[in-house]
Amino acid sequence: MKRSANKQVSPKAAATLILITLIIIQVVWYKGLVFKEKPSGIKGGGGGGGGGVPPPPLVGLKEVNVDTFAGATDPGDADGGRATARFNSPVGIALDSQGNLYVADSRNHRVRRVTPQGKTTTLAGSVQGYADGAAQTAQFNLPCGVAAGTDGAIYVADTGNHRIRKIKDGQVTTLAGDAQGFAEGAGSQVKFNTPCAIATDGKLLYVSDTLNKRIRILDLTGKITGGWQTPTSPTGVLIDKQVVVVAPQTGITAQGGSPLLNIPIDSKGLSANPADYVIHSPVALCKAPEGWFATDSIHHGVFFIKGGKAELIAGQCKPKEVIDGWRDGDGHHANFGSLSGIAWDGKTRVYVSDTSDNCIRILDINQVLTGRRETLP
Amino acid sequence: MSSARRKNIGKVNWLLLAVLAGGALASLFFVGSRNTLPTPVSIGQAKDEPLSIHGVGGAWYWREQPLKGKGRLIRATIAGMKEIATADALPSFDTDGKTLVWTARQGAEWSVMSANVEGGGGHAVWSGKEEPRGVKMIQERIYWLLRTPAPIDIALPFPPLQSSLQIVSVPIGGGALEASARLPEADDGEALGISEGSLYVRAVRMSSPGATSLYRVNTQNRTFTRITSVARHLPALLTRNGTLYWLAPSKETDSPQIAMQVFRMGASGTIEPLTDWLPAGGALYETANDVLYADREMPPSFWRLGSQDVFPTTLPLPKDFTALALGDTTALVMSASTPRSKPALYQIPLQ
Repeated sequence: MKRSANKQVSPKAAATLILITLIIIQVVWYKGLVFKEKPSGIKGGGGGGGGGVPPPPLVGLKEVNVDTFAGATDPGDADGGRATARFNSPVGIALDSQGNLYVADSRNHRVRRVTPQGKTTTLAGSVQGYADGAAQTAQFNLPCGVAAGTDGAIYVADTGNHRIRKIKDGQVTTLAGDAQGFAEGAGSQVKFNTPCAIATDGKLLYVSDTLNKRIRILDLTGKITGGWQTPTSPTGVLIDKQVVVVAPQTGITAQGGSPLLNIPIDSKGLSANPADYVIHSPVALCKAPEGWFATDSIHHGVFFIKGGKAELIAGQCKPKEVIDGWRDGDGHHANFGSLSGIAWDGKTRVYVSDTSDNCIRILDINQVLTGRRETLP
Repeated sequence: MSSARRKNIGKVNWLLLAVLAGGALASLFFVGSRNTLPTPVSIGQAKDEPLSIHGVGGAWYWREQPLKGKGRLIRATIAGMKEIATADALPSFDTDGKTLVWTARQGAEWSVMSANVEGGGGHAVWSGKEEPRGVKMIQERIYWLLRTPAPIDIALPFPPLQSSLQIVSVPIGGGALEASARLPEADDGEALGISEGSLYVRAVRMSSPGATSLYRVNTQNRTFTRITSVARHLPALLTRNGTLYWLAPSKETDSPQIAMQVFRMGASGTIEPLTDWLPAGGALYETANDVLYADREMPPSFWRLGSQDVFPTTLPLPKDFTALALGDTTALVMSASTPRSKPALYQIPLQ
C-alpha cells in the first residue's frame, strides 16, 4: 500500500481552513471589493444628452404625500366611505366652495359627490342613456367633465351624448347640445362633438369641444356666446386670469391658440438632460399656489407648472419606460395609472382622478407649501 | 391482580387490536381506491405548446403559435392528430363538435373561417383589416367582437376617446353580417353564450391594472347592461344551464395577484361569492358534472366549485402527469417528463 493513500486530513486543519475562508468572504463582502454598487445617474450629471448613459429617472417630491381618497383599483359602482366606494373610470373632477368633490364617473354614467371626509354618494345618473328629470333616474352617457357653479349647480360635459347638462336641486336638465356635430345657437340648436371638459367662472361656461377642436363659450342659459378653434383636440380648460387650454398633442396654450408657455410636448419620452424634462401628455390643469398643477396621462405623474417650467411633484417617470400602477406613499415613491382630472382645494389638498385605477387620489402638499422640502438625492 | 381481572384486560387488548387492524385495513382500502386512477391513453406529441384547448365530442382542439412560423389549429383524438388550418396568426377558435370556426390573419388581412371539424369545406365567413376577437359559436350563429377605432390618434384616459367593441354575428350556414351592441370597453373580449334570450359578453380593458367587465346584451334591441367589472384580465364562463361564473382578485389579500375568488350568478340574477383564496390563475371549465377552476400552479390543480359553504376539492389526477384542460368527460394531460413546448399528450376519463 502506498503511503499517500493512507494520508488523512486532520479535522482541526479542515475546520481552520473553512473558518479562514469564511472570514475572507466576509471581509470581501463588507469592503465591497467585488460587488461595488454602481453610482446613481442623478448626481453623476445626466446632462449631455446621450453618450450611451441612460438618463436618470424623474421622481416626485418626498414632501408630497399621496393617498387613495375614494375608490379602489377594482372597478365597480358603489357609494360609501373611502374603502367601500367604487368608481369605474372616473375622469373629470371639480370642487365646490364647501370642499365637496364632484366626479364624472364615466363608465358608471353617473356624477358622484365625495365629501371632504371621503364619503361618496351618487348625485345624478342611473344607467347609460339620455334622459333629463329627477337626478336619480336621469341618464348620462360616459360623462367626462364636471364644473361646480357659484350658483350651486353642477355642470356636466355629457361626452357620449354630446351635450352640456345641469344638475341643480335634484333635477337634471339639458343646457345645450343635441346630436353630434357642430352648430352655434342656443339650447338644442347647439351641437358639440364629444365635449370632454368644462370649466366655469360663475358667469360663463367654457367647454372643451374635443373632436370639434374648439373651445366653446356658453352663458348659463345655454347660449353660445363665443369660442375659438384649437390646433388639436382639447381635453382640459382652466379659467385663471385668461382661458388656458390643455391638449395632449400640443401642450398648454392660451386663448386664441397661441403658445402660452414654453412647455413643449416630448413625443419620444424623457430627454437625457434633467433640465429638459417636459410634460409628455397633459390632459387637465387646475390652479396652484403661484402656478398650475397638471396631470400627465403618459408619464403617470402630477406636475407643478410655474414660469414656463414643469416640475414633477408625484409619480415616477423613467426614460423610455412607463411606470404606472397604483401605489400610495410619498410623491417620490407613489405610482399612478392613467391620470385625468385634477382639482386643488386652495389649501393643502390636490385631488386627481386615477382613471385606469378607478379611484380618486389625494396629494397632501402641506410640506411643500411650508417650505420644508428636503434635498432630493 | 386477580386472574379474572387479568382476563378482562386481555379481552380489551384483543378488542382494541381488532379495531385498530380493521381501521388500518379500511384506510388501506380507501387510499388504494383513491389511487386507482385510470391509465392515461396516448394521443400523441404536440409540435408546440397547445393553447386555448377545447375538448368537445370526444376530440381535443387547440391552437399552436410558435414564436417563428405559422399558427396552427389542431384536432386530436386517440386515433391521431390532424392539422386543420394554418395562418400567420390564429388567435381564437371555437367548435360545437360539428363545425369549427377560427380567426386567422394572413399578412394584413383578417378572416373568420369556418369548416367541418375535419377541416373540410373551409371558407371565410368574414374578412377585413380589423382583428376579429373571441370567435364563438352560439345557437347557430358565429359571434365575434370588432374593435371600433378610437376617434383620436392618441392614447387618452377618456372612454369616449378610446376604441370600443362592436358585437357582430353571422349565421353558421352563411348570411349577412349583423351588428349588435357596441360596448364602451377598449380592447378585447368574447361572447360567452346565450341564456334566456340574452347574450353574455366578457370585455377587457388592457390598461394597467386592466379590467374585465361582463355584459348582458339584448340581441334584439342592442341594449346592454353591465353585470359587473373586476380588476385585471380574468376569464368567465356561461354554463349550459345559464349560470355565469367569473373570477375576481381576492379582496382579503394585499397582493391580489396571488389569490382569486370565484363568483356565480344564476337565473335569478343574484350574485353569489362562491369561494376565496384559490391560487391565482387560471381558467374555468364545465364538464358533464361539474364546474371547475384551474389555477396556474405547476402543476395546476383543478378545483371543483360546489356550494358556498364548502371549500372546493381538487380533481384527482394521475401521478407524473400534468392536466392541461378538461372536456365533458375526459381530461387532456401531458407527461410531466416532456417539455411544455412539445408535450406528450394523453387522455384520461374524469372521475
